[in-house]
Amino acid sequence: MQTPSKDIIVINGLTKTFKNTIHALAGVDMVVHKGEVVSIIGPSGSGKSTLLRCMNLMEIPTSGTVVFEGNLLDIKSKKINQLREKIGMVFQSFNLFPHLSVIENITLSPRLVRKIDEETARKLAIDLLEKVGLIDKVDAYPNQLSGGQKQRVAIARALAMKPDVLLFDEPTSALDPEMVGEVLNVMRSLVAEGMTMVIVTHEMAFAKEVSDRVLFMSDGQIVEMGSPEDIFSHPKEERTKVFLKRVNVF
Amino acid sequence: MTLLLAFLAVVLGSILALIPAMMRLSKNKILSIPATAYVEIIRGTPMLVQVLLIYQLLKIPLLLIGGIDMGSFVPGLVALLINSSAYISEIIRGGVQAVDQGQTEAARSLGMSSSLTMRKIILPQAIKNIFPALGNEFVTIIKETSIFMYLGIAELMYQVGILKASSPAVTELYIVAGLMYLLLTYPLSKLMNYIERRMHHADAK
Repeated sequence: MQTPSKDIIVINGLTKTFKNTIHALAGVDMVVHKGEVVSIIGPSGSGKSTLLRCMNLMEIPTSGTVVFEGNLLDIKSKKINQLREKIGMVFQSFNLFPHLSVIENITLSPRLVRKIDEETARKLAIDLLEKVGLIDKVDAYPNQLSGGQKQRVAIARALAMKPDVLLFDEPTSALDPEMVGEVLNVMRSLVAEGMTMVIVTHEMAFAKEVSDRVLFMSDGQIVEMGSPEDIFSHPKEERTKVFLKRVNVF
Repeated sequence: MTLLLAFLAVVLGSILALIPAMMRLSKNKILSIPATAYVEIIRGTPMLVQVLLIYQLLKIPLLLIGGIDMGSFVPGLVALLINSSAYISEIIRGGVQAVDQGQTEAARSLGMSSSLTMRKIILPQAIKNIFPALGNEFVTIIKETSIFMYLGIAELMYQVGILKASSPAVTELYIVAGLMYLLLTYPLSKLMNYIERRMHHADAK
């Protein structure tokens, strides 16, 4: 890796205003370092998903910049596709391709975008399916899978592009409670491998367990940022305290 | 003749319709505005007017200048194509827009370009939405070919016109003609239903 610094994502002065003039993001600055796990928590509507979605320009910021591995992300530039290859994303609603089998879901982009041959792509996909514990679902179609299985395939699909960072947008929010664990376990194994991850989540216990840093957001701003210990056990800001009391975990 | 015209109009029209459909879906106004204008003009004027106009524009100049008599079939088909492609482009556009936005996001997040996303992710799923409406369009076109009697293409209504001259039973003739159209369209609707069910079945496998 010829990354000049250890900063994978650098965000400066990011704002996002939707058409109905709601300030989804009101000036956010943050950095994600290589190998770091950053969790973003906060009440719904606080802008956490918007912030995450700006990190690969799924959402176009109104102003401010996102720099990924030294490259300014620009939606008008052709380079955006190459840069997005390296920024994996896992969605709340999985977004598997329903017309393709599990293995095709995983191999499609490596074959078409990274131009690796079918054989290699298949091997890669099988390794990844093994890793997420779904080796028996190679030829299944998405609608034959449970929510938890779909999300694990979605993670494998993102990993197949060999991303430098993985963005998780509330990966367990659409799951039945009994399926949350299997997805979190896959994410734990990625943490153990040193994958750089940014996670928007409502799973406070999980965020506390795996994060290097936790951001608390409210009203489009980062209210407080620190180690899980700082945020969950010794929150300084009133808004953080109120939120944590409301979610009633610690 | 009726079936051949309708079949060519739907098949070629579908392919042609991809162009205005993609243009209208584009964020680029230079592409989307002419396509919108085209669709609105075609949808907003009677087909009879379009057919007669195209006939004038195509057939007569070619006959006068080139000395080629292409008959009535080709200008008729061209008119039908122009008309059906506008309608089908709206069907395609609707089908594409009905595909969940999350599909585009997932594909783009994997580094796929917008055209690759369209071809490999969106269109294959859109076909399921498009197909039933395309069947309707086919049936509509079969019926619309009846106006080609004005051009002297030997389609169904034209034959009726000939027979009418030598037969007193005009009402019965029209009823028979209507039944013959029904005979063409009903099996087609059934066939479309069958294919549709097969597609849903394949989806649920």
